Amino acid sequence: MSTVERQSRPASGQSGNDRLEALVPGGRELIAGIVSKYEAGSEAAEELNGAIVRHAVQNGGTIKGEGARETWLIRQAVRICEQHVVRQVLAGANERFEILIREYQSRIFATARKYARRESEIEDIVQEVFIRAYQKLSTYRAEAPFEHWLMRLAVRVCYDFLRSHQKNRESSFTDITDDNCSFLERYVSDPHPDAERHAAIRTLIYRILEQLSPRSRQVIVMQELEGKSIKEISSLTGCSISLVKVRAFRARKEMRKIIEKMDKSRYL
Amino acid sequence: MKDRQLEETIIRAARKLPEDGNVPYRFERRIMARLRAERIVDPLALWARGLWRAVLPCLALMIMVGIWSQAMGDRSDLLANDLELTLMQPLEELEFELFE
Repeated sequence: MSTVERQSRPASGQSGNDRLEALVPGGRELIAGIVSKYEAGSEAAEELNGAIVRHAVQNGGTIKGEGARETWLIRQAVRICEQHVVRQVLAGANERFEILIREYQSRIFATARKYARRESEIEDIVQEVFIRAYQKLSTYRAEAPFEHWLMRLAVRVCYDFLRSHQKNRESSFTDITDDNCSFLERYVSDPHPDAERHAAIRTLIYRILEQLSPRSRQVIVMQELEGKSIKEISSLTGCSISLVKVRAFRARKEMRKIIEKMDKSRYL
Repeated sequence: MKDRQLEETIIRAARKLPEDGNVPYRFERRIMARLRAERIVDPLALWARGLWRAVLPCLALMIMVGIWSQAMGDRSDLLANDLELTLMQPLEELEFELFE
């Protein structure tokens, strides 16, 4: 019998917490820490704790490796806690939605900053994401993590933003000067660039991205900037894999054309 | 710099940009206030609320009509005659004109 099987098979008379400790050492504290973020009341927290322990004991035995089991346990605990909060919000405890906002706002801000430059626009995007999430909360299926559902919504809102601001895109091409090129080169090779240079590079890159069509920009941001795979992009956008491949190809072509034009314009 | 090289450099530089997840102070409170102010309207819930509110007036009306009809006594024969007369009147007039 393997160690995992031995660990996952409960000895008779063992309590749920003991079984959990056998599966993931320190698992109880781990779960308690996660639960305390979502539920302050002692009774509800106890109930939530129990639900997570039961789920972990029932399903955790099949996962091999202590590290993998710990990661799995964290994910499951977060998922169960979030489902608990979603159920509460749907039952009328609207103020509980703030927990979900606090948990994900930083990630949504980071995503929104790849699509918009002005801080007021970024805040509008994030606000719209959470308002839509609240309005459509009843459509959330608990099978997938809440984060995936929310990120799909965020991608949709960002795309809508790009489409609605399409007319305001910069019509004149930004010249890429030789200084810009060497600046970019230095930035790529320098392992510790400072904040000022980050901001300058961000502005330069966003000026280029702003000239792309919304569809191409969305694909370029996800594939090239965020390093997402075609499959991930497909699941986030709801498009088929073949359609994403076609869009990625077109987006690269569009970007090349823009760079070509910019490169030519500096010699004119 | 060749265009292809330039494109690669831009993408590599973009990838090197750190994620900026800074959140304005108490941003979550702002969203919650907005949610509270908006009072998102669910048409089905509005319809259901309206129906529930109409239950009592409808019941009261039903009872009043019941009492009134009881007080007026059984007038079903009279009503049947009136209905027949009203329905048959145009036909009778037509018949009268044809034979004249």
